[in-house]
Amino acid sequence: MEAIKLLLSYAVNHGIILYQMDVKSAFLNGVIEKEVFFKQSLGFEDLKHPDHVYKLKKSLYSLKQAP
Amino acid sequence: MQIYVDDIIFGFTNASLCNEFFKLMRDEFEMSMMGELKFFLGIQVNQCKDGLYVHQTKYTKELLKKFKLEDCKVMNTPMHPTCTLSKEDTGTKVDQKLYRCMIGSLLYLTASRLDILFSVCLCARFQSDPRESHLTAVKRIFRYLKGTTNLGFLYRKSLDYQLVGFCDADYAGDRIERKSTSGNCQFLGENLISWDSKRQVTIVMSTAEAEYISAASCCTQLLWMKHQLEDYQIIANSIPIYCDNTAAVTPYLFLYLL
Repeated sequence: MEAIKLLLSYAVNHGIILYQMDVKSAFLNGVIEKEVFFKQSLGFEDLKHPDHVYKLKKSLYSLKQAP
Repeated sequence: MQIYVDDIIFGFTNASLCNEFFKLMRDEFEMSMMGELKFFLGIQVNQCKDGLYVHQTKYTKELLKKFKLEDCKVMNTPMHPTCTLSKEDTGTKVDQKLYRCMIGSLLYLTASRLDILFSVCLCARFQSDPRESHLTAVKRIFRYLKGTTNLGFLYRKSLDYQLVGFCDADYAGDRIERKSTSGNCQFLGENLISWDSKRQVTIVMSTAEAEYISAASCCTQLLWMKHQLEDYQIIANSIPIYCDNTAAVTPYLFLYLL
């Protein structure tokens, strides 16, 4: 928080206009490092292959591996 | 440029550089431009010609709504000057969850409101066993907030661009454990950057000692800020710390004269 205040104060003194940017779904931008598989969700089973599992391509929140 | 997890603030003196940077970032990640900095981590920022106004009006209003205190009577101060809260065994117990919830919400508000910092920290000490009297004190803070929802701080352009620290201590302010409370704040030019109010860990025997502890924590904060400013090519060689206690300052004055 103080770091932000320092920046704000610096910007004011140098007449800089500040802009804001946001990363869309930050976590999906992270590439997954380990192989994680998950079961087919209830009600969303693939009728042809009910025993198959999915492999995660991108990382998600609430994973065991998530920070 | 400053990054907080997935929120980014950036600014340039040159508009074309600014656009170029945005394009670079957009090509690399899925990003959206939010325009001028207005709302960041629950803190509102108003950029105008004279300077920059930082406040949490929206958050404060939401808090009053959340705790159903919108219709309360307005108070002029966050706490009665002679208020001495202490641990109680007799008072009626209050909902601990609600109490903690209120303290937590208020703590976030201290990001832009230093006027309530001391009162909130004082009330926060009774979270383990909150009683009626403690809750009343917390509610008084909310009543004070109601009358002052739009307060925040203003950053202005200043010619004297120097780091300054101020420190003070409240000797044995804590009735229960007789510990002192330190308070300090740091300015960059005339812009207030950070502040702190904390009960000291050790018990001291004199006001001077309490003041020294406060000065030490002020100093650590200043050192961090000094390092941070070096990233912006601002080098501060000597940083004054102001202290108002004669007993604490006098020994060093003699050293200086010798």
